[in-house]
Amino acid sequence: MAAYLTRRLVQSLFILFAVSLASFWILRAAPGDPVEMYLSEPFHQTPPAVIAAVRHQLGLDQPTYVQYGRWLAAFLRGDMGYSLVTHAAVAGEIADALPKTFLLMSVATGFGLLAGILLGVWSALRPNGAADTVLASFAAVGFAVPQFWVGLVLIYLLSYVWPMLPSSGMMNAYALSPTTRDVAVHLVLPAATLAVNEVAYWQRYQRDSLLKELTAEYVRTARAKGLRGIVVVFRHAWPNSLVAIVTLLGLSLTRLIAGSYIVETIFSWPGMGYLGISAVDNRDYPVVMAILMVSAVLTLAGNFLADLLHTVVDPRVRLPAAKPR
Amino acid sequence: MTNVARHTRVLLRCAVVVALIGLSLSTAGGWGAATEAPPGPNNTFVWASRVMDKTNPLLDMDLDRVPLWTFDGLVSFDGSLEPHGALAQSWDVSNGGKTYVFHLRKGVTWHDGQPFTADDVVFTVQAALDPKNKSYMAPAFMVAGKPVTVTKVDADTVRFDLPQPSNTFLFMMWRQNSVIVPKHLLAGVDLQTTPFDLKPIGTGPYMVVKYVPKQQVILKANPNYFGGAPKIQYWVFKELEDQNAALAALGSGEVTAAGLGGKAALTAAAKMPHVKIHGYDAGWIFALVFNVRRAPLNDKSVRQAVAYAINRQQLVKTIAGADTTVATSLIGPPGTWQYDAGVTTYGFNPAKAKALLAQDGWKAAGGGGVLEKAGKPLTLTISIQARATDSDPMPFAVAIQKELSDVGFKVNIVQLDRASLQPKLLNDHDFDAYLWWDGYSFVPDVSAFWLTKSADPTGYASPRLDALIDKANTTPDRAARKATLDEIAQQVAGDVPMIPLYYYRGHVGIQDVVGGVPQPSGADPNNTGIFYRVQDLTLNRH
Repeated sequence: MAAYLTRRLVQSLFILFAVSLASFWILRAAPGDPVEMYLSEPFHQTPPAVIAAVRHQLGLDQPTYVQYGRWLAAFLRGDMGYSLVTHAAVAGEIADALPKTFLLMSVATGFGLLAGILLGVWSALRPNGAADTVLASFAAVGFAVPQFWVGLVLIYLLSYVWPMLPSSGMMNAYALSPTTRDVAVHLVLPAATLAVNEVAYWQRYQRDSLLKELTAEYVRTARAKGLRGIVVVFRHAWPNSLVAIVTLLGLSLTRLIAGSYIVETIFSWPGMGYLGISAVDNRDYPVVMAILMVSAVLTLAGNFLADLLHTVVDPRVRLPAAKPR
Repeated sequence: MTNVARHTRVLLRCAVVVALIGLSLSTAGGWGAATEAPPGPNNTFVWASRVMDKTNPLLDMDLDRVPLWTFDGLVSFDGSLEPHGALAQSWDVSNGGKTYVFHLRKGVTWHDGQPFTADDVVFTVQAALDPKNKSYMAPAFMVAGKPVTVTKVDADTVRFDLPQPSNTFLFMMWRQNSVIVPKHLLAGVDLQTTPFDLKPIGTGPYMVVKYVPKQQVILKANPNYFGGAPKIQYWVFKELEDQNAALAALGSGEVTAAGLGGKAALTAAAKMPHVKIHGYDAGWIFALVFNVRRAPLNDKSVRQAVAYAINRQQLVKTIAGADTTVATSLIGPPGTWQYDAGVTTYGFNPAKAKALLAQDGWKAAGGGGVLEKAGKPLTLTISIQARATDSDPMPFAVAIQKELSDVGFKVNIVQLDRASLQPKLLNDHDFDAYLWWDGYSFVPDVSAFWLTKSADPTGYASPRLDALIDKANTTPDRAARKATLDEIAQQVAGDVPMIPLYYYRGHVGIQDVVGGVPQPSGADPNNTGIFYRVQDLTLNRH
């Protein structure tokens, strides 16, 4: 196990290095200058000498490989730098935004998982019936429909036509500090927007996974032994069907991170996605790099978690053995 | 039970526990109960806006949000563009317009109770001009690129010595361009890290109670405000990035007011039963601006042909809205003393456009309809910004593309985000034409646009124009100044380095429970979008 963990860690470090290199170069190659963006009124030029002085101060006049080296050295020391726009410490911005994204993602995943599993089980127990057909259509729509459209429809219906939920933010406008109830109420719409895709996703996987188990030999044996149907399904087949679900859970992290950018912007939810969109618009290099690296770490962690969970839930699966000496 | 099933069951139980712990932890950090009586629906104006990350006016780029409610400048301007005292009670101008002596208003205090004095003014100017602060206010205290000198005469009197006379200086002392910050809180501190940003102290009608980054800023009325204590006890700037979410919040009453960008938003707001729409001249002009360095727009005849080919009246009415005024000049708006009603305009005349192009040697080639000259087709590219914060320029671009193609142009449209577009325009001059809003000057001072150096993106250089602009900026007599401004307007109209399309009319949707909303006539130089006397607003909920 230790050898496997060490190997995964080393692999992850290489991947993170590659991600940082590619991201840094692509960011620098993209048109747009953060100093000009910050200093200049749109389309009115600040004196070139002023821009040059600020670029020098920020080290942006150095060759890209020098800038990368400096960034990497600082990053390895735990220094994510300062935002070019707000001058706030990037680590602080991330520390503020990340829990909010986690909250949104965990609620959306939790709801999506629960609803998806329930609907998937229902479908699997009535394959090709009316309910299964309806749910299959729902899943297709859930996969296909853009999240921003779902978000706007939910806002229109539940914040405007039948105004029962707030349309944005995470706290009441009259509150001096967000309360737990406040946050919970504001969480409903953005989480529901993310959850639509999640429900479709998990419903299909649960259905297919459970159907596969229900056709297994041990299920036929259990039925032949006279066990009641409900016992066969929920004590034996269903827990086994969750193997695939549990392992895919880790991989869903990537999907949720990507989805959060759009949803957080629509709902002004102050998480990583919201921070990232603004940083990209402004070419705020330190913030964008920090977000990319944090997202990469989360993705790798999700993949690793998926592999680990797979071995936990299914003892037939073993971690790759160490190479013999 | 199989081993797999057993393991899965255990794992599920663990997952539930972890999720519950995670949920409670993520809701625990940093959030606590309110420490003072919270604002409520009956005493709070909630304004759907963008919450700036920095609220220190020395550093903040946008002086049109929180700082305008919490800070003041030395002077203010009314809707007729006449100056009045703000933090300065009065002022004297001498030495041929090079010396301004401001007599400060007595009895003004900062939100923390400390007295406002001349020391604060001197400190503000010096801090703004200090290059290490990279202050966005620095240009306000510079004339013709040189810094002004500020001297404390006594506790209530400050003298400014300008490097040369300037008709724009007083306008720079208005709070949209510069505000005064407290010396006792900012002298000697690191402006980039000071906690002042989270609770700025100003002299304005509202004071910051709580700043929740990226969420909202809660302000409370300043009972000691020299302009009169505000009648609405609280004001909240609530972060709302998405226009659709803002509309929903306005319609449901979640917010008291929201800006309405674009016709679709106006149409939606017009249907809301408890919302009134207020329009104001926002001080912006929407124009098609040319790169006169590059063919074919380096040819004045071609630019004039473009001007005749565009039906501005129809475009503006259809796309921008019926209450929007077609623009004719950067010097305006109509109704103000500086506007030249007789400036040359180009009415919609496609036949004249075709005639100009034909005279210039552009002839039809083949059956394609695109004109050619010396084997080169008559093409131009219009650049627009993607994700523009105001109205989307794409409908105008598409409409102009159609109208120009009717007279023989081939028009392409390129849409880029601001970060990509800006260097193409400013550095590389890699564009033919761009559609954009820009602020026109209320003062007026068009040097930002048409001085040879400032007109760099367009390449429109005219020493005669430079001299006229200098003359307009230094002539104290209004009648003489008007004559010079008319000459400027006529030259620019004749040379057509840009085609003005419309004076941007801003709109705000406000719940009908709000009273005292001013009806500005003409210009709103304060750029508060009609909230320039926030202290007069009332909230009449039943």
